[in-house]
Amino acid sequence: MKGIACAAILAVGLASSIAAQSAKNVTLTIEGSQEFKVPSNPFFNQANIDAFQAKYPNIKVDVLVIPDAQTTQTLQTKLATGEPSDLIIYNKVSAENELTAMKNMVDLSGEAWVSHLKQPEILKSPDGKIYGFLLSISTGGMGVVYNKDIFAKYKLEAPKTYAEFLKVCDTLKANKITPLYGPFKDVWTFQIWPTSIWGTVAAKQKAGIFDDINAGKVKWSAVPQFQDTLARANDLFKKGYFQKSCLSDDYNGAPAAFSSGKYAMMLMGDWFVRDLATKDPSINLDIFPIPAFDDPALNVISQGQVGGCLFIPKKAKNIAEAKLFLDFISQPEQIARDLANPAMAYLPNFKDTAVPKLQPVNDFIYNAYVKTGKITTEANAFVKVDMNDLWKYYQDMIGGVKTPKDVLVAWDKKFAELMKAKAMPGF
Amino acid sequence: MKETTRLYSYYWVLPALAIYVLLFILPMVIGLYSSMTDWTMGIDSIHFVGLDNFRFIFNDAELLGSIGNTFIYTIVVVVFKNLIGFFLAVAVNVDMGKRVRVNNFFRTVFYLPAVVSTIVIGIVFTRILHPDGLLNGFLNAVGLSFLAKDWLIDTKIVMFTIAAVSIWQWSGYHMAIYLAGIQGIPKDYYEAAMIDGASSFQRLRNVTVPLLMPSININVILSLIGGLKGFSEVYALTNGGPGHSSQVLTTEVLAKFGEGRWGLGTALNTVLLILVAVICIPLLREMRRQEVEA
Amino acid sequence: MRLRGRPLPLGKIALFLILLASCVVIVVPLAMMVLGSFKNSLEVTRFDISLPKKWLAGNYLTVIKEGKLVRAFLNSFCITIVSLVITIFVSSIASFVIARKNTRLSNFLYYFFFIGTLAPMQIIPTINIFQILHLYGSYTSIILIYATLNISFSCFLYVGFIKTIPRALDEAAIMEGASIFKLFFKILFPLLKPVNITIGILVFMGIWNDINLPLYFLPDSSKWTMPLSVYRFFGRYYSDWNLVFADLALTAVPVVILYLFAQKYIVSGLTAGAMKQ
Repeated sequence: MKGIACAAILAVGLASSIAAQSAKNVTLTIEGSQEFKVPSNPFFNQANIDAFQAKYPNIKVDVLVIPDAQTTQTLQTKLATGEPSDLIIYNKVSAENELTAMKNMVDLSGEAWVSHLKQPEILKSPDGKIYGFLLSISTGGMGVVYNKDIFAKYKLEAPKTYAEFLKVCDTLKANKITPLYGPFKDVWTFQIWPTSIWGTVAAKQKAGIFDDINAGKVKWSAVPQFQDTLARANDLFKKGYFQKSCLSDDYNGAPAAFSSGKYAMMLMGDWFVRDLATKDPSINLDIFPIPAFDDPALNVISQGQVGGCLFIPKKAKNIAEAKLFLDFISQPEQIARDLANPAMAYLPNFKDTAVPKLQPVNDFIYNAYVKTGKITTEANAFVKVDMNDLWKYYQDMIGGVKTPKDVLVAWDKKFAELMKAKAMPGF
Repeated sequence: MKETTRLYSYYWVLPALAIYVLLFILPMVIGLYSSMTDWTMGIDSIHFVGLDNFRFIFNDAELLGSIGNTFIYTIVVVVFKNLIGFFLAVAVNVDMGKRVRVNNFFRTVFYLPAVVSTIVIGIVFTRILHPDGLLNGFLNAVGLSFLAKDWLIDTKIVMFTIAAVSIWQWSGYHMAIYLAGIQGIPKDYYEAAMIDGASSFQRLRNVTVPLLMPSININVILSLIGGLKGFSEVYALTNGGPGHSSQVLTTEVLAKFGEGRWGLGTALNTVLLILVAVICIPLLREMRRQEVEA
Repeated sequence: MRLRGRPLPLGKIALFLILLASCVVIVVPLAMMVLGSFKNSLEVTRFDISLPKKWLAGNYLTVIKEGKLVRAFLNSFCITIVSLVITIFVSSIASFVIARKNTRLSNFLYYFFFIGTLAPMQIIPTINIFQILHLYGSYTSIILIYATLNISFSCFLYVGFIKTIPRALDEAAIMEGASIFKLFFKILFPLLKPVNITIGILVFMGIWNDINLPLYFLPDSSKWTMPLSVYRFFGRYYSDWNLVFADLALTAVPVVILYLFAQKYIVSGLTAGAMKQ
């Protein structure tokens, strides 16, 4: 009896202290990379923030947009010193690897919104718990973005096999159109090719390959499919399907390049199609899966890891308010407002929500690929370390300094070194 | 003499010393210690590993390459920023008759690049140095096509290209420091030299340069440190690429920190500190000696 | 002097032309930025020096509003000025004593401060120290950091300069009954004008353009400085370079104004120079 009384007093005390805390003025900080400051991201959306602040007048939301290149370092530093923001935006697997989410972040599995999720499994970490919050199910993906009008002009169809792909490139080249725009000064652009294809390799050809690689049992250079993938990309360079200056060009130049009508295709994702639609509506772009395999069934749209989740660090100052924010933006009426905004409309991962009118490219990817299961998860999602060095080796390959095999051998060495620094078993 | 010397009190040094020791030296010492640990994001406990990180650095071809690049870059920028800065300072100080506005105009324009964010420098020079960009376009137009290059791609010249952009950005800044020095030289020195019949080159050599030693020292040391610790130009133009061909120490430090390898990152920082100190401190001593003689 | 009013000799005309050519080299890249800031988001991605098809001055308004530039400007201004004043005050008095004393200790202090210009900053331990002082995240913390980082460089310049001012000046002043405070603040400090201006410009510029430290030391974006606002306008997947250019052009304006202003003083620092030796 006494115990219950104590517990009751404690509970009342706790509740009142939370209430007292919510009543005092609080600044709720949301921090994330520039990468996520895009029109379609609901977490940075001012209308959502305004609505939240209207409902909780004592809470002021402060958004910190930090540079892409320093995001990891900034967030890691703040976590290490115990001064993290209240909410952090980060990709799910990257957060597990780079921010040790399972140790540093609040377990959200018991939150009310979890029970409304359509597919809770996509948010689960390897330990079965949920640390990251996300509103949507992905309707995006990576493949080959192409100019539909150019294809129509030369009576070309989206190629389904590697051989067809080469043929399309030849036709375009013969007509003085550069088949592929390569923005390879930015290292993240070329890697779309290998990471997409290796995702399929892992899913369809070599099950468990990444478990073995992560355990130190298999070397990257010992997987023939990996080498073939790079060799096929290398052939595209050798045949001159990319512009000569591809190592000097970056993604920032892509809108002007496509707007000029001199380029037909680019390895990229749905975001470029949407971006160009706002910058130059006269160009009609669409997307098809990277045709790197001879078997058309293997050529599918690849999706990145679950991206841009909100995490609450355990050391955050305002955990209760941060949870309030998650709860608030997952309410049906808030989601409804998001979906009414065409620039933002996403496919919500919550029950009792309608499928909204998606952007055309996302509608296409969703109906033609996601629903039919013609998708794969990119290989990056399975790798436990930062892959930036591998991406740099790709530049060496494009520049003719390394062969596809050299790239993988060099990466094997770097990979072992990075795994060892993280004290991973097997290295 | 003795009377006044006693008046100067070391108490006057205390405010600067206090914040400097607390907020710079103390963290630096902690950093020196961290560079001898295996501190990595996500590991459970940090261990003292002695000189392991340093051994690693000096056995890693990529990191050694970045040290080499740092040296090349530094030498080029120190020489040219100073030569050009000095030349500009002398040039914008030449008596253009009553046309003082002309001098002021040049002084301002040359200084402008220094105030512009490196983000702009990165995006703008990426286009100018593009194989089909403005620079090669200009070279081709004036019949110097043989000079047209893949400025940021050719691994043999990429370091020099980055150095050139840095020189473009900072020569005006060094000009401003030289200019302040030149304008501090009393006019009667020149008038005396002219009465002695000195040519303008002799005046430059015998009056300007010796009296300018303090400015020269400042500029050399500043550009030296700027070169060795140079980061933003490399970062904005190539981020160490293509491949690893333009990595310098500071970009490697950022990369290591980004990988969560703080022990190794701080060790690289320590290498950088030792390198800079070994070069700059003896140089500074020598320059101070010269300054007294001048 | 004798040339005043007469036509310039050939050598000077040649020099003038060289300088003019150099100006073109300087101005072309900058023009790309300024012209770009008036273009629309597609036109700007051509990154050339063509004139905008339509001049969109509204880009600047967008940037001021979305980048919250008014607040950011005030932050930048206060942080920079206060840091600068602290830097100049503590470094000049410290350098005065270091330059005038001729002992091993003063020599040691000179090199001890100089290390600060060489060593890379250690961010995590510095944050820890502010946490212990209960200053983390405050304006005070970032101001102290900027002051600390600039003390080394400023002492380096001050000591060098103060040594060129004859000590006889001190002795004469003291003989006439001036206190050491009066000697420094009333007599010496005004003579330091050229170096004060030089340090003023360099330190101001360094702090104003810093895009790094607020990320780590100011966990609240309402305290952020102007250059950080630029991250709202570009990223890996979506960039509005026209807005980026407008934002950065606005950020650069105060430094340009300061330089124009200071340039006049560098010239008027002539009389001070005449006091040397």
